[in-house]
Amino acid sequence: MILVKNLRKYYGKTRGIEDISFSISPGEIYGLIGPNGAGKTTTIRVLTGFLRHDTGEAQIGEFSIPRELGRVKNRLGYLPGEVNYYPALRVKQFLEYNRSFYPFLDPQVEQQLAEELQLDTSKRFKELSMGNKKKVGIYQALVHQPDFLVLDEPTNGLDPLLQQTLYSLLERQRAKGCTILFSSHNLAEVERICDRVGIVRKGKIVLEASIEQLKKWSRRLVTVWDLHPIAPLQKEFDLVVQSGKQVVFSLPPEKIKTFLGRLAQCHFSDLSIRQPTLEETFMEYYREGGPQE
Amino acid sequence: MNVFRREFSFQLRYTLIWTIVLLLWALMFIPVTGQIMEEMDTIIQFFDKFPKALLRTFNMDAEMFSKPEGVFGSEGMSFAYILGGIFASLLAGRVFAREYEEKTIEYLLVKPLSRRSLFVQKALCMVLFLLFSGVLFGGSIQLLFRAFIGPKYAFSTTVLLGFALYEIVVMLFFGAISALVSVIAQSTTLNTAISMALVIFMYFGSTLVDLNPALGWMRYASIFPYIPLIDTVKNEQVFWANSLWIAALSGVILLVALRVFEKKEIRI
Repeated sequence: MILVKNLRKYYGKTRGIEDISFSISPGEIYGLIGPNGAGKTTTIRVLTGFLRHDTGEAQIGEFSIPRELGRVKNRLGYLPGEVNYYPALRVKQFLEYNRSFYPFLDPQVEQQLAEELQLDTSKRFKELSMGNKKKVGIYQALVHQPDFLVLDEPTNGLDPLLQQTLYSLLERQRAKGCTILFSSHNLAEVERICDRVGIVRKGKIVLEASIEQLKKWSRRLVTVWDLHPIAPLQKEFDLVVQSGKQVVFSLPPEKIKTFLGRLAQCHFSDLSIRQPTLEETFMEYYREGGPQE
Repeated sequence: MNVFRREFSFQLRYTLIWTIVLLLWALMFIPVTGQIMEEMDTIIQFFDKFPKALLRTFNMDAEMFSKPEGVFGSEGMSFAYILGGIFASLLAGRVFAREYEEKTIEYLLVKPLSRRSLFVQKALCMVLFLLFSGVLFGGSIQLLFRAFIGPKYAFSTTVLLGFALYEIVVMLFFGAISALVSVIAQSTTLNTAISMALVIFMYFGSTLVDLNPALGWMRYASIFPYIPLIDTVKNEQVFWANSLWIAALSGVILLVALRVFEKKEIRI
């Protein structure tokens, strides 16, 4: 498992992370979501041993990080947000170099992965597009079939086809019992692939839940067309969007009945009630003070 | 030793180019030494008109110029010191700081390899290349002296051996300093600027001591006064012990750099 407990990291006086805790079980994909600067990358960089945390605990498997990182490195795969390898090396040479770190690589896995990712091994790294660089990054993170995978915004720069390939590769790793930490600000992909998510805000996990729970806890969005008058409803309920002929209210499920009662006293031409997307739920949590009741 | 092998192939061409530059410098200077020796009377008269301290600053001394190895030791070796110092600093920057600059250090640090092993393999490669370059330079000056000076003038092979040793310790010292700066600064640009400044400051700073006694402290902030070219030539005495101390100091600096590398966060 990957365990992070009350992790705190400051860069001098600047906050990196304030209090991050989560645990990921084998065979689980955990999504760490939040905007830039929330603390996702700092958390990952503590786990990979690049940074030393001020307080708290970080563990990969039974090994404490950073002290015992060396004992788990051969079972760890890491994909950085920005893939940078040796610019002058040809991909083929880089793969050979990478192989030299893992004496027991399975040639079949190497070949299969290279084929799935459609690696062009003849080019120099500096000649590759961002997406192709990322492919090499994914390859080096997965080729040794790690038990632990740490991926920092892995789909950045990937085209949709390649994203699908990555998702299926991760599904396969998960099926093998790999523990996967996946940071992203793309909620659609988190929704698509993760089992649980932790929403990071200002260096803290503000919400941790399964994807299903997250959707269940979320509010309902009620869109009303040609509403008149708006003011009475606006006073009582949370109006989130007013655009052209439509207004959108965000309501907890238990207030819908009351809302419809008040709405019946107004004039309107149409109405729809829907569950917000994860993106909208996420934005809700990011509004100052979290969701309003 | 996979990191060593990769580093070896990465830095080989660069080392060869710099070694060729050093050899070409020796090849340019040593054949001219014979001509300078033939016009020594004029040069001695010229020296007499100059302040002694100023001459010493530039490793010029009438007695030193009376020997062919002295002629090479004054200007040839001064420049070889600076070239060697710059080469060692740049090489160390390529070996260490560049990994931060290109962010490849992140790749290396998650691979099954300890930080210590990573550093040691890289440092070993750097030291090997510096020794290679220094030994080749030493060998070349012996051969060039035999070829161009030997037929006409007597010269001390011991002094030439000393020159080679000094060149090696200068390179080791600045290589070690630059490795330390690299792991602290984690930036090629900063490393190059600081390391170059140190080479220049230590070399010219130490020569200024003779011009201005108030700058006497500089003697302790530089390695060059401990491997003096003039005294080596005049007394035919190689400063073996001092050279070994400088080599040992370089080793200590590398150990400090290793310690920093093991502990320091990667902030790139």
